[in-house]
Amino acid sequence: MEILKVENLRKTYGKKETQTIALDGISFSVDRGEFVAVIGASGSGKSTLLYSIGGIDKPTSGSITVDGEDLLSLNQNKLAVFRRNKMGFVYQFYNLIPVLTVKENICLPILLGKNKVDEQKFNEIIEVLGLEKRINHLPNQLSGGEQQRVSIGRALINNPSIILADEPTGNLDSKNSAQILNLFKKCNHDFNQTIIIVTHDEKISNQVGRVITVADGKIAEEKSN
Amino acid sequence: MNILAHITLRYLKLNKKRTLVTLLGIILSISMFTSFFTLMDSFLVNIEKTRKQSNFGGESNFDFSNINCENIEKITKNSVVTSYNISRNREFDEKANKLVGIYPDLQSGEYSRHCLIKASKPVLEAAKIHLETGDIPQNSNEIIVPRWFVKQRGKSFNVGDTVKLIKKDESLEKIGEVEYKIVGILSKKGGYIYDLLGYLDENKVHSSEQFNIRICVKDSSDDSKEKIKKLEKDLNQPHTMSSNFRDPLGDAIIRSIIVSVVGIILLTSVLLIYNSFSISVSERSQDIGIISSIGATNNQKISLVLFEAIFMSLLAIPMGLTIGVLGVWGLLGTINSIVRGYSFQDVDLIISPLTFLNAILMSLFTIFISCIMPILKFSKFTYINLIRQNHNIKLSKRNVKTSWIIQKIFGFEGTLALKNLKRNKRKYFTILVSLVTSLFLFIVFSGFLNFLEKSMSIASPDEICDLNVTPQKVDVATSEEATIKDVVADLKSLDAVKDTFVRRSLFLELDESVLKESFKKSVDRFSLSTKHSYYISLQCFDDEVFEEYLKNIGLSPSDFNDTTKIKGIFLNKFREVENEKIIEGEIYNIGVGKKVNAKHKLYSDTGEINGEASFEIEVGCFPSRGLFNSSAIADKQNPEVIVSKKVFEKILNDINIKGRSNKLGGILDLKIFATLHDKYKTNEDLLYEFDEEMSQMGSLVQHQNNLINALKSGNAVLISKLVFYAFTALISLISATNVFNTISTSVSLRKREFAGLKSVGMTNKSFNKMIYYESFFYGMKTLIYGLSLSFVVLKLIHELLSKKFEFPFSLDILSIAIGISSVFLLILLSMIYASSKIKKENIIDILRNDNI
Repeated sequence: MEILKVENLRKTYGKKETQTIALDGISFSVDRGEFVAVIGASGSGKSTLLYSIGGIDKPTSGSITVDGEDLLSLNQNKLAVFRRNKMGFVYQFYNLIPVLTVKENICLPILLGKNKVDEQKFNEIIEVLGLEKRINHLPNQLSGGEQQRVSIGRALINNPSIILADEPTGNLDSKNSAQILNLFKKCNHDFNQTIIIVTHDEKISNQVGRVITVADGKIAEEKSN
Repeated sequence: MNILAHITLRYLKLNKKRTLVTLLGIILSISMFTSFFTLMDSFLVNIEKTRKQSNFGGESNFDFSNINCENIEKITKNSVVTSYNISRNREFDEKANKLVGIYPDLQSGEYSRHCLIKASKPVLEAAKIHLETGDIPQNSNEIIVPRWFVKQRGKSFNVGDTVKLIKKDESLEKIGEVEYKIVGILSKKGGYIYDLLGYLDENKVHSSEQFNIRICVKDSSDDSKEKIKKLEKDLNQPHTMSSNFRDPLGDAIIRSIIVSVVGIILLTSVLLIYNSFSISVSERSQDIGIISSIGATNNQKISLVLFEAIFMSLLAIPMGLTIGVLGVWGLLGTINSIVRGYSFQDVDLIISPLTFLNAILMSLFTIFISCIMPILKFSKFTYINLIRQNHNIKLSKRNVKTSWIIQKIFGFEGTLALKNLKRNKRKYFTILVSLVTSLFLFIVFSGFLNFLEKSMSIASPDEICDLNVTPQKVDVATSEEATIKDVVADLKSLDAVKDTFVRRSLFLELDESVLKESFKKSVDRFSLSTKHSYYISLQCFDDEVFEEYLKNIGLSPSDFNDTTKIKGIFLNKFREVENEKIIEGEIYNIGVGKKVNAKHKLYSDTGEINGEASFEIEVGCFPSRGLFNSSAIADKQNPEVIVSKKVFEKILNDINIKGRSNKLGGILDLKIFATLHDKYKTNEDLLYEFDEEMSQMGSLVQHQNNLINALKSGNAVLISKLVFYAFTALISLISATNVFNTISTSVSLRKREFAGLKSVGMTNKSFNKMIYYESFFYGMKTLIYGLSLSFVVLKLIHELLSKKFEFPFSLDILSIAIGISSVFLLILLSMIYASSKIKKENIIDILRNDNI
């Protein structure tokens, strides 16, 4: 079942001579439960693609449909609520809120929606993430790997339709990288979670279901492992 | 608690320093608004109260003196009159069948120039606020008395006592006695009222009595002025009229001061609060980006900042209101303690709910604008820009272009410093506006106060002495010396008196060819007849005083003591009011060394003119300062020419004044002057006691206390100084907070950059140099804008004041110097503080510390 459909996506920066084309008519789709890696050289447009899919960067033209909803037709507020409920983000630099504890950071999307935290779900997630003893710590009291696990927890807490991860291991050593990748695989396998991951890491791209290679804002290659 | 409120509170707690600075800024702004509105309210209510007392509710008032009974209604029933009051000094006595004045019965043989004035209710109501005890008279046998009357030599009176007063006819012969009951005693604040006040029944007036009437007119329109003019013509009897129109120029000045002050407070407050919130939002922009990316709506983002604003306001508003009110309370207390005892009344602290509401609304408006603007600005950026923190590095080459001259003069560090200033226009602007505002306010206020002092000295020229005394009814020829000795001894016995000296003057008719036309015109305007003579007042002082004066103006006494010729010091400047403006002019059209002709009519023993004596007086000097360093402004009616005592006595001898007794009346004038100890520190009570004692010397002298006038104008300047400097201090504090806040954040936000520079080999010395240059450039820009703006505004103020007073434009160099050094000091201290924190940190730690 198709959970994401991207059609003819274009994104340009600047005007006239200084115009840069980041995305140049990209189209592809992803099915529920797929684990997709987007790879490419620096500046190829892979991150722009990811953020456009996530609705946190605006494409110049084209269409993005997530779980049957046309993202570009949504107004800002609806888009915010949609993101909150249907998407999870994992960034290279974790992007946690420094003043909130691990638990609060993980539960942030739920708290923003003024909903009650499902404690069972939360406990299940921190157990998987191995953060049981860290829930009352602040982000600056954690290691890089732990912080990234918190950000994955935050992405998972709302049972999103899709998780978008931008270089999640880019800032980690190989041991932590392996742990994070295993976590993603586990989520994908255990919760049938759809994941799209932007990476340079060949170890990751070798272990996912499908690899999309982006070059100069276009899809250069698509292959399934 | 809502998660957003939670985040905000934690953030505020985490950034304690900034939270405190923001809080301080908001508190200062609110207290500024509060104190300004409270001060304005207090002064306006006080001014209105004073005006109501003197004008009885009207806009302007007119005084008519010596009005006949049949003319009363013509004046009081006029259509422009809103209210009026009537008083009379002398009343018709049925028994004696003539007009009598009622006087205090002092020691036998002594005479008081103060009498019982009977006045209608409005006058008594106005005097009521000056009552120390008792109430105002309700019927015609009740009176209120001034304090000097209560404690006369050997007697003491209280409220409820009956007092015996004496009736005197026009030639001051006692013709009877009358008893009155004292119902009230005037307090010290009413110290300038020396007469006794009684109740006048308007229904019981006699046709031969004359009245003083004060009317109040509802407005200052031309129509009202015309009607008053017509009324004056219709009166058809000799009378005098004086007017007191509300000054529209004064109103305009007050209005423009209020508007500018509110404007300045608003500008600096908005800047400070905006800046604080902007910095706070800016530092949290990444968090805002993250929260948005995981699904925070626009309203949630706004509520994030709004919560901060509300939280801060809740803390700051009560504190700001309290501090503002306490500040004004202290200021008014200080002002009141300075002016208490003189004709100024206490300015009461007026706290109205409207003031608070105004201050709160103004502050909330400022805070709301300040917190909404930055968040709206950030909504222009995509979340990913906010998350990656690359929203504020959109720089073009043009933005940070610097001239090669800078490179040449200041080196690489200078160029880098200038580029640093240019890269963030908003911060640059904030710092610059804050500094320029403070500098501008300081210089303009100091300059304005300087102008104010000059205007005051023009409006009320300094007297040559603190006090002068004119002996009354002195037989010039026979008892002159004896009387002078008496008065001088009396004066010297008073604690407050330091020294005394005597001035004698003789009026001489002057040959008008030596006078300038402009001067003559000015004198003619006040003359009753078209053809008249011009007079000078030939004066002499005690020898020591005159010699001291000659020494001060650099002249030798021997020249002036030569009795074979008459050589005098001519005061050559006069002032006059033309089109409501005071202008200065010169009197004589001849130079120093030339001679003027003057003559004096000689009288026979029977008082008839019996020839005349002529004199040639040489112009010895046109002095720049008068006696005792007073301003050398001449009395326009009788310009002063000062000669030595020897020469003066020779002239008196020549015109054979001896034996002519007091028939010479207005020709020879005698005044005794006194200087007081500690002129400006004189205790108000002492001053009052002194006035009391002088009043009791009524039989001998008429006295004028110049010190009170000097203190009054000195006080006006002092009060203005207090208010203006308090205001400048607060604004400067706000600006200093702002500058400190902005500079320290801008430096700490650039710490990665500084670490980068250091990592590639920038030495501490170069780093310091860069920081100093940045301070220097800020300072220079501040000076360019601040000084030129101040200059223009001071020039405008000078123009405005020149409409009333003419004096040359000048700048107050000392205050400019203080202003400039403060600016540099503030910037430098903020810079050094901010950079010292960076220096302590490890380069690699800073470089590594990207997130969190």
